[in-house]
Amino acid sequence: MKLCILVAGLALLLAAEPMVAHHAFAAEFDVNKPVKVNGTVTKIEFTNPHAWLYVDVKDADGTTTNWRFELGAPNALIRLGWKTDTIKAGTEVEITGFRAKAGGPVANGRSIKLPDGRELFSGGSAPTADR
Amino acid sequence: MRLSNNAAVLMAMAAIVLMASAASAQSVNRLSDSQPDMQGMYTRTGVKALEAEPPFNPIDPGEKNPFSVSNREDGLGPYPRIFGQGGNVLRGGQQRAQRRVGIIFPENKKLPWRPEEDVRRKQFLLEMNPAKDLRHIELNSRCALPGLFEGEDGNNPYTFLQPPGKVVIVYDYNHTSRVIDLNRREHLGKQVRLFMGDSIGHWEGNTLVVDTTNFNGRVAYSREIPYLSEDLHTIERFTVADGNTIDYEVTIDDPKLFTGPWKVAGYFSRAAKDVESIEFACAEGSQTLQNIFGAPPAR
Amino acid sequence: MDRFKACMILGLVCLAEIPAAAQTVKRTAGGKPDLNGIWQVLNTAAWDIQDHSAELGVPPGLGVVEGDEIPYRPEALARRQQNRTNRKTADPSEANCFLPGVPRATYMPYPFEIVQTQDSVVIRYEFAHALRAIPMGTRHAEGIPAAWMGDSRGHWEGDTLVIDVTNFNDETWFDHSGNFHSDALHVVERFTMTNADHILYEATIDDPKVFTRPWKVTMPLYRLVDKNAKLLEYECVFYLQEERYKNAPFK
Repeated sequence: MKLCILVAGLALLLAAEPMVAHHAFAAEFDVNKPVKVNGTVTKIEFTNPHAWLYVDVKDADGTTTNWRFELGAPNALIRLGWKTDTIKAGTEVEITGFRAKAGGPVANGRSIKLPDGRELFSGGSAPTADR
Repeated sequence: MRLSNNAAVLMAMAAIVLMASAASAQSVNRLSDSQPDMQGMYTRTGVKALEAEPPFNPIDPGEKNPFSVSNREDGLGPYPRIFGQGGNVLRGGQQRAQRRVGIIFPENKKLPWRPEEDVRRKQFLLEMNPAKDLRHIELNSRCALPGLFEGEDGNNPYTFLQPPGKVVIVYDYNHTSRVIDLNRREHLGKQVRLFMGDSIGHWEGNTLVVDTTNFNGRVAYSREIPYLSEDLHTIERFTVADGNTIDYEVTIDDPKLFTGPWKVAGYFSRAAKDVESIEFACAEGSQTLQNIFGAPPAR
Repeated sequence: MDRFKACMILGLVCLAEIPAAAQTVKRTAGGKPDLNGIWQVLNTAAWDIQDHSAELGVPPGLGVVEGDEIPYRPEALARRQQNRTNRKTADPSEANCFLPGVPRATYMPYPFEIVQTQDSVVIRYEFAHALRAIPMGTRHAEGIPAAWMGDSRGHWEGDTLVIDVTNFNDETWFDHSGNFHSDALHVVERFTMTNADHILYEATIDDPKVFTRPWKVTMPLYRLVDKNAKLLEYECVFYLQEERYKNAPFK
C-alpha cells in the first residue's frame, strides 16, 4: 500500500495531468535537447505552479553548476504527504530531462534515479486516468 | 365533522405542496433562505473536451499529435500516460459518480465554426510553438485568470460559498474566484471586459442558472480552442443532484467564432472532509516566459 | 422630561441602552455581525505606513502605525533603508505584481470583498485577484510550504472577527517604502464593525527576527455603498508581461 502511494506520488512529482497540464511542455522545453546530469540535490522547492529540484552538477572542468529541474504540481504532492526534505539535500541523483528553449541550466525533469537504483519515474502503464 | 368544500380543497392543496417539497427536500439540503445548499469543496470533471477531428496542435503532448513526445517509440517523454492522481486524493479515494462529460451538443461533436475563424484558429495554434510572440502564449503559461473552463481540475478543487444574494466559486488554481450575483438582472456595460466575465444568476428548482457576458476575448476553452471572443455569452446550469454531486452543463454561444451555440457537460464531486485549500501562487514562482523567450531586458 | 416620555412623544421605539453599533449592524443567522460586502481603505498606507510628506506621485499621509514607530532591530533597519532606496525595482508588489501579503493586501488602493458564510470567511482582493481562505475554528495547517498570503484561521471574540495568520514566506513588504518582515511573521487581525458601513481594522505584527517587539497598524475600512459596487479585475501580472515581453522573442 505504501509502495503504491509512493510510486503514485513520485509519478505525480514529475508530471500530473498532462492533457490539462498547467502549460504546454513543448512550448517551453526542447524535445531535441535532452539532458542527463549526475549531481547532488541541494533543495526541492514546492512553489507553484511547478515544484523545482535543484542539483549541483560538477562540470568537466571542475566547476559546479546548479541545475534546476521542473517537476509536477506541488499541491497534489503536498496532499500526498510530501515534504521539502522527502528527497533529502545531499542525495546523489541521476536526472534526465529536456532543456528549456531559452537555454541555461534549466530543464523539465523526466526521470530521477536514486543511489539504490530505483527510478522515480520510468514510464510504463498508468493507473486509471483521472481527468 | 364535515369540512366545507373550500377547506377540503385548501387541505388537499396544502398536502400536495407538502409532498412536493418533501420529495425535493429529501435529496437536496437547503439553506435558511430555502436555496439549495451547494456549499463546500468539490473536484470538477469533464467540461473540457476534444471536438471531432481536433486540429493539429504543436504544443499538445497528447497521443494523436505526431510531434508529441509521448508518441516517440522509445516511450520517453515528460508526461507519458500518468494522469493526475490529484482528483482521487481530493476525494479521499472515493469513487466519483459517473455522469455526462464532454461536448454534448452537437452530438457529433463537430463544432459549428465559422470557416474563416476555424482557419484563423488553426493558424494561431501553429504559431504557438515556437511561440511567435507573447500573444501566442497560453494564458495558463502566463498565470492569467483562467476564465470558466481552465482550472487544472485534476489537482485543484473548487469551493462553493453562498453568502446572501450571491454564489461565490473559489478555484484553488491560481487563487481564482468568481461572484455570481443573484439580485442583479442587468450585465455590466459593454466597455467592462473581464477574464472571468460578469455573472448573474437565478435558481430554477435545484438548478442555478448563470448568465455570463463581458469577457475580454482572451480566455481559452481548451488547448485546441485557444481563445473565445469578446462576444462570448455562456449559460451555465449547476444542478444540485444530491449531497455529493453537482451536475454541470454550459452553453457556449460565441457568434463571432461560431454559427451557433454548443454545449458541454461535466460535474462536481464533493471532496473529502479534511481537505483544505492550499495557496497556489502562480506568477510568483513561474519561470515559463523566461524559459520560452529568455529574460526580458532590464527596466 | 425623562427620556422615556420623550421617546413616547416622538413615537420612537424605546430600547434599553444598546451600543450604537449593535443597533445598526446587520447580523447573520448565526448572530454574528455580517461583514459581507465590498470594502476599501481611505488612507495612504500603501505608499508608507508611517507619517509621510508628499512627493511627486505620492500623496501625503498620516501613518497607520500606533505610535508611528516601527521597532526594527538595529541590523534590520539597514535592510529597510536599502529596500526603500531600491523600491522602484525591489518592491515585490509594485515592481513585480506579486501577492502583497497581510496586512498590506488590506490597504492596497483597491477594493476587496469579504465573503462570510456560516462556516468560513473568504476575502477576495481586486489587486492581482489575491485571495485568502479563512477557515473558522480550525488549527493552522502543518507541513505546507510557506505562503505569500500566509495561513489564516478565524474565530469570533464577541462581535470581533479575529484572524490569526502564520506560515508566511519572507518575500512581501508592508508598503512601498520597504518595510519588510521575515518568515517568522505572525499577524493577528481584528475586524470590528463600528456601524453598518465601517469596520475598525487592527493588525498586530509580531516578528522577533526583525523587530524588537510586536507593533500594530489600525485603520477604518469603508463599505462601498455605490449601488453597483463590484470587484473588477486588476490583472497586474498580465499587464506587466505585456510590457516586458512586448518584443519577445529576444535574440
